[in-house]
Amino acid sequence: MPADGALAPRDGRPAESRGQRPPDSGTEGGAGRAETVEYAVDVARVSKAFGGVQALKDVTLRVAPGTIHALVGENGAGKSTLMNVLAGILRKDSGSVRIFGDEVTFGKPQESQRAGIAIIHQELALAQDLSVAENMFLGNLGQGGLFVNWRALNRRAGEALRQFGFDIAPTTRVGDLSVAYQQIVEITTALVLHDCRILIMDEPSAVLADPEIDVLFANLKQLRDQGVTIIYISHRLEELFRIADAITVFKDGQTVTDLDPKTCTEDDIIANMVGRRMGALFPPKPDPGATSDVVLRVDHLTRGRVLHDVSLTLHRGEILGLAGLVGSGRSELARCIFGIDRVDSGTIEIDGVARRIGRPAHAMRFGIGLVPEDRKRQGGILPMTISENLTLTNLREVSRFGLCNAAAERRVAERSKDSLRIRLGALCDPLSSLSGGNQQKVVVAKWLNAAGTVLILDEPTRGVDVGAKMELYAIVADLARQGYGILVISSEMMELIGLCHRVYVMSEGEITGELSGGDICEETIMRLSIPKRRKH
Amino acid sequence: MPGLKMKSSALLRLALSQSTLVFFVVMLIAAYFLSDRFFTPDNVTNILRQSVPLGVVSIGLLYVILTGGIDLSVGSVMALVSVVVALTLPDLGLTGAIIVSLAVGTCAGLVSGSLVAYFGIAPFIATLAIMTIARGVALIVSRGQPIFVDNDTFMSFGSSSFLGVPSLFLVLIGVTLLAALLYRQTVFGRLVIAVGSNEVATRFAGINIPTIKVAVYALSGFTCAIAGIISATRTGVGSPILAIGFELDAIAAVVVGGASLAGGRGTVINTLIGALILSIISNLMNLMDIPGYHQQVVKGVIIVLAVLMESAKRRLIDR
Ligand SMILES: Nc1ncnc2c1ncn2[C@@H]1O[C@H](COP(=O)(O)OP(=O)(O)OP(=O)(O)O)[C@@H](O)[C@H]1O
Ligand SMILES: [Mg+2]
Repeated sequence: MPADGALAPRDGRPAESRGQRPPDSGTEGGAGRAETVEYAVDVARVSKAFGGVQALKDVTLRVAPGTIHALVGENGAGKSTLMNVLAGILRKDSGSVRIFGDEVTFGKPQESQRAGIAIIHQELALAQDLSVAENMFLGNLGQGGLFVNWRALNRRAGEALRQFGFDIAPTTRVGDLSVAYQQIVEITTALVLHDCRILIMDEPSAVLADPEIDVLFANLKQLRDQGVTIIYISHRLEELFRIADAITVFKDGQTVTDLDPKTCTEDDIIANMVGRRMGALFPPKPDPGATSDVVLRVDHLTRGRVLHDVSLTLHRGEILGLAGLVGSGRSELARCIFGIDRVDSGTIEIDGVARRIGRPAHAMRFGIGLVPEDRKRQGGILPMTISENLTLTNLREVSRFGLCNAAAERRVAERSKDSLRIRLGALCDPLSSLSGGNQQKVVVAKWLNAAGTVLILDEPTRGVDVGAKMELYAIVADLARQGYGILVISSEMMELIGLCHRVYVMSEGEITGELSGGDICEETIMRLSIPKRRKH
Repeated sequence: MPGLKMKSSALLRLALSQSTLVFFVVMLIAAYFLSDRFFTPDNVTNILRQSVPLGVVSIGLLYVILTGGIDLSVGSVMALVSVVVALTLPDLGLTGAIIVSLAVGTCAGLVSGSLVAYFGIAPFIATLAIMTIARGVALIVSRGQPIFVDNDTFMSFGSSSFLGVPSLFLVLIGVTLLAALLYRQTVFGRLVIAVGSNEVATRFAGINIPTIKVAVYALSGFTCAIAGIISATRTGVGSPILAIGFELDAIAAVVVGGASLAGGRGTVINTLIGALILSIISNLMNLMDIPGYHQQVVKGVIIVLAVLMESAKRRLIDR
C-alpha cells in the first residue's frame, strides 16, 4: 500500500475540508438532527467528588453549537474537572451530559473522542523523547499499514503545522521545544488531525505570547465558522472579549451565571468569579529607593545561538521586566543566570562580585531564586506532598541536624498557604491533587520561602486566577520593598506595564531595548520584540 | 446501603495500601497449610537467620532504586567484603576487621556513585562494571580459595541469640529501623524521594543532585558490607564466590515490596517484608522438597504476581 496516499487522505488541508463535514452540513442523518438540537453540549446537574472534596456540585452548562464558549472561575472552581468528565477522563458521580442531544456517559477517553470531542489539557501531555511528527500521529504511526513512512509522516505533520502558521520542524524532539511550542504541537494535533466537532481548550493562551495568541484566535474563529464548537478556558479575562460568544462563570464547583461578552465588562466577570468587586489589579509600584546598589549585573552574556551579547542590570528593590516573544531568549537568560545552562562568554555579578554559577545549587547559595516556566517538569514534584514541595527550597528552616521538624514544616507551609490563598484539601495531600492554578501558586510560594537577594519569575501568573494574581503582584511589590531585586519574565504585556519599574525587550537572543517609567507601553514593546530578520 | 458501600470500599483501600503486608500474611497462612514443619521454632529461627543478608542488602538497594538508579554490584561487594573480613581478622582483630570491611564496601559504593553522578554513566553500566571488578578483586586477594575465619568471638555471634531471637536478625531489625528513620525523618530521605520523583524539579530547587546520588550508592555499599560480614559469621568462611546472582534476589525483594524501578516510590518496611516473602518462599519449597530447578520457576512466577498486583492496585487507586 502506498503509505503516501494513506497518510494524506485529506490532501494536507484538513481544516478546510472539515468545513464540508457535519455537524452543520452533513450528508447523513446527522445533518437534520444537528439543526434541530439546541445545544452541542448540555450538562445538567453534574456532580463529582474526589474523596472529601466536592469538585462539582449540580453543574449546569449549555453550549450552543458553532460557538466559542468561555469558562472562567477561580483556581480550583472545577472547570478542568468538568472538562475531564466531558473528555471521558473522569467519571461523573451523577447528573446527565448530552452531546448534540444524545445522552452519553463516557467510560474512557476513546469513547469521548468517538463522539467528536477533543481536549487540549492544561498540562501538556506529549512524549518528550519522540519527534513532533511522531507525537502528532502517535495513535496511528503506521497510518493503518505495518510500517512507518517517515518521509510522508514528517511532510504531513509539517504541512499541518504550517497551515496553523507555525514554523516547527516535524523532526524536532518534543523535549527540546519550549512549552509554548509544545502546546502548539498539541493544538495542531487536535485541530487538524483528529476530526473534532467539539474542541475543549483548557487555558491554551497561558503559555503563549500576544502575537501567537493572535494566530491562535484567528484559527479558533476560522474553526468556529466552519461549525466546530469550542469550549475555551482562560484566566486572561481581557481576551474573552475578543474571542468568546458566551461566558459561563464557575464558582466553588458550580456555574453561577452566564454572561454575554457584548454587554458585560471585565469587572462584571471578576465580581461574579470572586463574589465581590475588586480594587486595582496592580499595587502601587514600590519606590525603588535612594540606593542604587546593583544586585545583579549581567555583562556581554553569550550562549550558542540562543543568547547574544546580553547585558543588563538589576537594582536592589527594583522590579525589572523581560518582554519578548516566546523563543526570544528570555527563559534561556534566566536559565543561564540560575546556573542551569552553561554560558559561552560573559560574566554574571551578584552584589558586585563576579560569580561562576555552575549549577542551581550555586545560584541558590548566592541568593538567586527561580520560578521556572514549566510547572509540571521543572517547578513541582507532583507525587510529593504539598508541604514537602513548599519547603524543598528552605530545608534548613524546617530541619535540625538533618532531621525534619514537622512543626516547623507545618508552620512554613501554613504561612505559604495563607499568603497566596492556596486552595487545598490538606497540606499532606500530593501536589497532583491541586488544580493547575493552585499548583502554580505552590511553586511560586516555594521560592518565596527561600531567602535571597534576586528572584527570577518566569511566567509566574500562568494559569493563576485574577484574585491570586492580585495577591501575587502585591507580594512581588512587597519583596521589592524588602530589598529583593526581581526579574519578571512575562508574555502578558499588561503585567509588565503594571508591575515593573523598567522593562528590557528581547528578540532573537538579543536585548533590543530598555524602557522605563512612562515609556513602557504596548506599542513600543511590540515594535521591539518583532524579530528583524524573520526566518521562514 | 451507601454507608455499607463506603465501608467496604474503605476496607478495600486499606488492604490495597498495605498490599505487601496482605501478601505476606496470605503467604504465612498458606505456609501453615502447606507444611506442618513450617511453624516449628527451629524452622522459624532458621528463616529469620537466612533472611538477614537479603533483607539488609535490599534495604540499601531500595535507596538506590528510589532515586531511579540500580545497583548490580551488591552480590560481588558482599563476596569481596566476606573475603576481606576473613583475611584481616587475624591481624586487625575484631573491631579493626569490621571497620576495614565496612570501609571497603562503602568505597565500592562511592565509586559506583561517582561514576553515575559525576561521569554520567548509566547506573546499570556503572554498577555492572563494579560488579565485575569487585568479584575479580575478591578472587585475586583470596587466590580463588575460601578463607576460613579464625576468630571465636566473631563465629559465635553468627549462632548466638538474644532473648530467643537470633542476634543476626536483630541486626536486620536495627538496620531496618535506622533506614526507616533515614527515610521518614531526615532531609536526606526526602531528597532521595524528590530526586526519584522529578530530578529536574529537584535540581531547579537548588538541590545538589550528585551528592544525593553518591550517597545512596555508598549506602548500598555499606549495607552490602554488613551482609558480607554476616555471611562470614554464619558460614565461617570468606568466599570469593559468595552471593553470585544475589543482585537479582535483592531487586526482586525491593520490587515485591512495592517499590517502583522508575524511582520515587517504595518504603523500607515493605522492602523488609518483600525480603521476608522471598526467604519464606525458598524455605517453604525446601520443606516441601521441591527440586531446585522448579523452585526458580515458582519464584519467578511469584515475583510477576506481586508486581501485577502492585500495578493493578495503582490503577484502582488512581481512578
Ligand atoms: N485528582 C484529584 N484528587 C483530589 N482532588 C482533586 C483532583 N483533581 C481536582 N481536585 C480538586 O477539585 C477541585 C477542582 O479542581 P479543577 O482542577 O477542576 O479546578 P479548575 O477550575 O480547573 O482550576 P484552575 O483554574 O486552577 O485550573 C479543586 O479543589 C481540586 O483540588
Ligand atoms: Mg484547571
